[in-house]
Amino acid sequence: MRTRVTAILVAQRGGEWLDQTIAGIAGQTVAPDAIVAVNNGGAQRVGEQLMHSGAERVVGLSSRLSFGQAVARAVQTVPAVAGVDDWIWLLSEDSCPETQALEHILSSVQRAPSVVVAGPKLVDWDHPERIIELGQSLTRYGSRWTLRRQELDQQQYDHLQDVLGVGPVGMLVRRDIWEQLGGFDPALPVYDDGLDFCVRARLAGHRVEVAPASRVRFAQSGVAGPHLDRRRSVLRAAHRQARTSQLHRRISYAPAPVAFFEWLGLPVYAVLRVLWSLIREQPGYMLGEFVAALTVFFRPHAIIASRRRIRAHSTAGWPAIRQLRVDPKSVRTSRMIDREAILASSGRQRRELHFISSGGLGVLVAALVAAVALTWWAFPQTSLAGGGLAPLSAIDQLWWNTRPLGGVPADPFTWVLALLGTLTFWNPSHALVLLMIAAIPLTALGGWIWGAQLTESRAARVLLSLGFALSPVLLGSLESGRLPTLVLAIVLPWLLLAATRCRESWSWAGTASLLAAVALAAAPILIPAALVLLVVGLFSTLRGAARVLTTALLPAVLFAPKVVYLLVNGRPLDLLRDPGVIVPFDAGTTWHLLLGFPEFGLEGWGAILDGIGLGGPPATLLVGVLMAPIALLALLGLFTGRVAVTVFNAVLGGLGMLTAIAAGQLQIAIVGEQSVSVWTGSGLAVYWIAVLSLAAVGATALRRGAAPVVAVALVAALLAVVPVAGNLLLNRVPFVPASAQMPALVQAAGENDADVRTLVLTPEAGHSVRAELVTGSGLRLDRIRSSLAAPVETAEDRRLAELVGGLASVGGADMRESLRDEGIGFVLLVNSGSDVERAQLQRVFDQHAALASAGLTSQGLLWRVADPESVADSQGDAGTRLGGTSLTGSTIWGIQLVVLIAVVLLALPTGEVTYRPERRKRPSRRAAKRAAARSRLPVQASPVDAAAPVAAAPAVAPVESVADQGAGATAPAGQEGPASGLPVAEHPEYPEHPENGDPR
Amino acid sequence: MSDRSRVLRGGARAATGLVVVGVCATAVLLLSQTELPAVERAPIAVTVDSTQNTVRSLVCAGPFGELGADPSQPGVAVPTGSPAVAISGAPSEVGSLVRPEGGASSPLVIEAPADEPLAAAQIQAVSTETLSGAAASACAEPLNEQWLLGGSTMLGVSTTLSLGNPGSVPATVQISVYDESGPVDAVQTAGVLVAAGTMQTVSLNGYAPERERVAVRVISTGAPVTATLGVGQTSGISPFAVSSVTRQVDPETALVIPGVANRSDHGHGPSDSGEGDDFPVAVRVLAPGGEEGRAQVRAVDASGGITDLGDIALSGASVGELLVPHWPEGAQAVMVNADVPVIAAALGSATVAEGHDYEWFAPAPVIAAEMPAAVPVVAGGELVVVNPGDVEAKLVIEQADGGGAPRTQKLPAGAAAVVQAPADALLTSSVPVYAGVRYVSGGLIAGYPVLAPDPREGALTVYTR
Repeated sequence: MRTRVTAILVAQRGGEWLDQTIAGIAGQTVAPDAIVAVNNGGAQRVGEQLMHSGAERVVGLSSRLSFGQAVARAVQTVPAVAGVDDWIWLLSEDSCPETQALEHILSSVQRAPSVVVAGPKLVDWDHPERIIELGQSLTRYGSRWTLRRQELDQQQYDHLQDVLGVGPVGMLVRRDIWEQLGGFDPALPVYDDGLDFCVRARLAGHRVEVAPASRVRFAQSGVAGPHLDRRRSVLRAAHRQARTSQLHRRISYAPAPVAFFEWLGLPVYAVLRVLWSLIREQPGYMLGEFVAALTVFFRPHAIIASRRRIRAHSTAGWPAIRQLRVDPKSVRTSRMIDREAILASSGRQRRELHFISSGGLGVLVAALVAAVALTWWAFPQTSLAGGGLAPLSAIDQLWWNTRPLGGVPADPFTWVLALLGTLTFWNPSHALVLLMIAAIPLTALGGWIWGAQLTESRAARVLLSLGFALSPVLLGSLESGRLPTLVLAIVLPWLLLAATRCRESWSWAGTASLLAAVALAAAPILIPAALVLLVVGLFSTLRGAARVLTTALLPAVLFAPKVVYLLVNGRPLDLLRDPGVIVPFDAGTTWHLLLGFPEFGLEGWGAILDGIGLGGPPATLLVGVLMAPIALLALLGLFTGRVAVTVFNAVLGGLGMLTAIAAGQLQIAIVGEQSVSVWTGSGLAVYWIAVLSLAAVGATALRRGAAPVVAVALVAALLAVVPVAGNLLLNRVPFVPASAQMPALVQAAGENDADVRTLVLTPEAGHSVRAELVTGSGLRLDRIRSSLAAPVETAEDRRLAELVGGLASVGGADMRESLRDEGIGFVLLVNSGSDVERAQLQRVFDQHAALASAGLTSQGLLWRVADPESVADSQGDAGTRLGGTSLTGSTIWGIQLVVLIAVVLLALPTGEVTYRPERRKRPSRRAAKRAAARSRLPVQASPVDAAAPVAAAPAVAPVESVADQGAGATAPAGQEGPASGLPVAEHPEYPEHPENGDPR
Repeated sequence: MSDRSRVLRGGARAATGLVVVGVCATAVLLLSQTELPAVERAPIAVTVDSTQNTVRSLVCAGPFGELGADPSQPGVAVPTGSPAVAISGAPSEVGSLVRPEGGASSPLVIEAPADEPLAAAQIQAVSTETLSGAAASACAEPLNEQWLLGGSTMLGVSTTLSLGNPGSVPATVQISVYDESGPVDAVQTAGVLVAAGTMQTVSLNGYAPERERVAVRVISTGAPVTATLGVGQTSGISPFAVSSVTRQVDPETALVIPGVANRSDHGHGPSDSGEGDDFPVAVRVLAPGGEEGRAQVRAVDASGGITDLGDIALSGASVGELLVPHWPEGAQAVMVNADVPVIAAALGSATVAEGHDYEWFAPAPVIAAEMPAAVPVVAGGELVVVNPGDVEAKLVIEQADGGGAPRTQKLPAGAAAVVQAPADALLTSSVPVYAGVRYVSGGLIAGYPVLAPDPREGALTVYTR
């Protein structure tokens, strides 16, 4: 039987690709018997171009239709010829068949009469050696299965023959089947039109084949199938279309009852998919997923129509295609291979750190030994109090305290405490003890990993990790129980690691956001420095700006209530206050800070050297000598390191030092009768890790000489912390078990009634006393709200002072009423401060009718208030609106929690590795138009021979195209943009590439 | 990599290093030279008045307790006679304490609103078979912690400690004794229970016998008490001297003991004890902290002349003593300046042919400038005012009941002078001064410091953060 092939060419943009395609068709070894061209809603000039293509007929469509519809219109115009084997060959303007394409594909269908559809091997337009597509299939669960990335064509798939389906481009289909099955499903305009058609053909008992020898160059510009490009907006639109088609297909293919429930569940599924895209770190797809599911949900008629279409010709039934589906094992294998290949091609494969062989394990063991030696006293404890430490509340109260209560926002650090406490949910306070113990090893580990990013040198990594883990800041913080600084030191190396890589992936950006939130919550004084780094990060990247901004998301959300509250109350400076218990200290001078010592006494050296008559500047100088090797290595690093590394660390260190100096000048906390600076150690931790990073770079430059020099530097640096390490070693620390935090009587009363309050009085000096109210069985770290500490005298201060004054009056008025109003059950006169004043107060209290002496406890003298009454407000009211906003505490908390969970999901290393096509050079339409115009003369003379001059046109076009692109490109964009279904904004981007006119 | 690009790269790195080092060096130089601006928030100090509606009560020592007067109870101090009490100010209530030993009269408790000046003192001439002399002490507010220095527990000397509790709850009193070689361990934990509204007298001779020099620290819990020492000495079987010692509140580095005198009608001729006084003035100093140090002892006279009496070495919380061989003519007070906080007392004697007496003078608290201080002057007593400062003091003396015309007197800087004063005097000074009252009559000597209330008392600073 004679075979007749009608090529159907769909064009909508026209221009150079079309010219090449026309030339490709014309150059076939086996020419199609007829060409029907469709101007699918394109401009007039596209029609003209098609006119001269040698097409038998040009069908003009006034508005753009989907590829399937356009083809259907074209097929209608061709009269059926009886007695011939009538085939149609579907081509788009961006699919140029190679010369033997039709010959090969025809021969493959002629071999087997049962084959009714055949597809070519689609290769990339610009890189014909790469395969785009070779048949399509379905997985066991109905997902579309195609090649996920462009592979080099090494004929690795050329054995393929029978496939489940093929794509629409280059598809050769028997006309009677096309008409019998009703062409492509109009509900699948972009994706899966060919696949769905093939499935229906298979269900009708026909065969579908792929002809690997038939090659068609394809540019994926969206005329047929999806528009794929490197641009993210294009990829997002393609993803939405893919999901819409997939959902539609899945419901259409399912058995009726299942399909109904699937359709009914679509809205829920939409939300789940949105979450899933977050988990897969594709936040750009979230909206698309939602829209896709809802689109399908609101088009039940299309589903019903598709189901009817399938049922109409389903003779063989679904079992017929089971064998052609891809089995799950192959799916897994090829996904894994693809993932590796994509990572490798984009340069993101994981670097081997050689943790054990390059000393990481050794460092960790050394740090563990140091931790055991320095914190042995904490091992038997389950909760500690004293210094900066206090126990945590029970787990429910702990989380409750992360809410804004009574209109006062919580410190972001309470979130850190809550997360920590959850680790040991049966006794949250134990987590703090464990953190004290684990601080040194964890910091060393983090330091080592950060070091591994900077250098391959083993000695340099050791210097960085041990130097940071045993720094004066960390040991000093350990000694005085400054929990936030420990958290900061543990988190800092990881934060640097994540922040420097946040542009690479959403996972790193999410991780950086989490870690930045923890670090800033622990040390709000670093906020200005972090903002500077954020701005620097934004300016150093163009593409990753969204990811860099994401790192600021969680810190911003956690700090937002506090910022609003403090701005409304007119004291923005309080944002920088340290969280937790304020431990009084004297800030070091600038020289002390430069040596890495946050406090004035150089962590014990001041007193020691004073004792042997070397106090003051000589002491600083002597300690400076111990730190000198590290400084010299850092100096070497400055001159030998990579410029980026040097500049980054210099900026980081400079910001850390400025922060530390500024912190020393900000005496914004008040403890009793003294003003206390913001803790200088927070800035110093940043400074120190930067200095050590530079030193590590310097040590790397020494190559073989690194080990001895690093050894000297480390030993000297360790000598510098001997006094503070000695204190830790000898258990000269201010911590007591939490059971000794308050007198047993108070603790017992606090157990029974969490609202009972104790008035704690510290005689500071003659006639001056510090008064605090402690609720329940003692101070709880998570209850502290730094926003509450107003810098001016409040009515509450006045009331408390009047109460103390009343209690301190001999034979004064009966204070029972006032004590009851305040809910005070006990009065504790602590054992420190001025003896004389304590004796004085004791004398008065002893005589007070409202107080009954409960004797001397190890914490101090205790009195019980006669028949006390507690005020029930221990929980705090989360329903109160935050000052200056209309949001209640619970609402704010909910928002924060949602963002937190979202960022955690984003941070999980569950990112989908997706292939991004390379940037494709699009030819200018104007150039092609010129070329077409030029070829008009001969065309007019003999329209039949038009193909030859048109084919020659591309060679001429580029020469002239460069000059007037700028003027030409915008006008067609306005014309065509709305019709193309893609954002108009994309189009002006084309003229950015002057080489656009180049066909290659 | 070609040589050229290697050189280029090295150059870029070195240049970066240079720039960074330059910037850092400049920044450090600038930072070290500029005074950085600082934000400092002042501590929140709320000052409240703790004297509103409060009552000050003063407890007097009561009749002198004579140890061993009742042969059946040799350890009990039997009150003998009754003292004369001088009160300056208007007491709202005058009560008394109960003594388990009984006695002719009871120790007085004098109360007045805290914001009105009130002071009282008592004097008693003791004359029994074994004791004779005069003893005077100031009536003092009860405290939880106080010090007493004076007396001895050697043979012939009996020292008793009276503890008065005017409150409504019992007080548990801990007595710690210090002697010439430091703290006495045996009685560290000795506790005495003083029932509410009573006065207990205990014998130090029983607690720490055979001590040359004694100091006592009294710490009470439950309720504050007022403590007084009574010292009686016999020479052989004849009475020798009687003294009572007013308490001190806390150790200080500068102490003024006003009113110290040493009178003798024997003249200053050669005697058994050499070229000095028959009964030399003794100054005792104790640094309770146990620190090493020195205390400088000086005598002051009416015209501002200062005589250096000598130094006392302080060590190991032992009671040091300085014997002044010759008490300077006209000296009215002793000043003790130590490099560590100390308590002190001075012993002054009066000797006439027919008798002898001595008195332990205790340091006086400072009378703040421009604060009227109530000064009780016992009959026959002389008010001695000491101005240790550099500025001349202008003293105004009036009667506490408002009667009579105020009298003004100038006191030169660094002088200690006797000031004419009525029995219920009210003393206002332009500069901080110290005052004490001395009674010398024939062979009797007694004295007490004027216990002015602390001017800061009542104002309590509360730090609420």
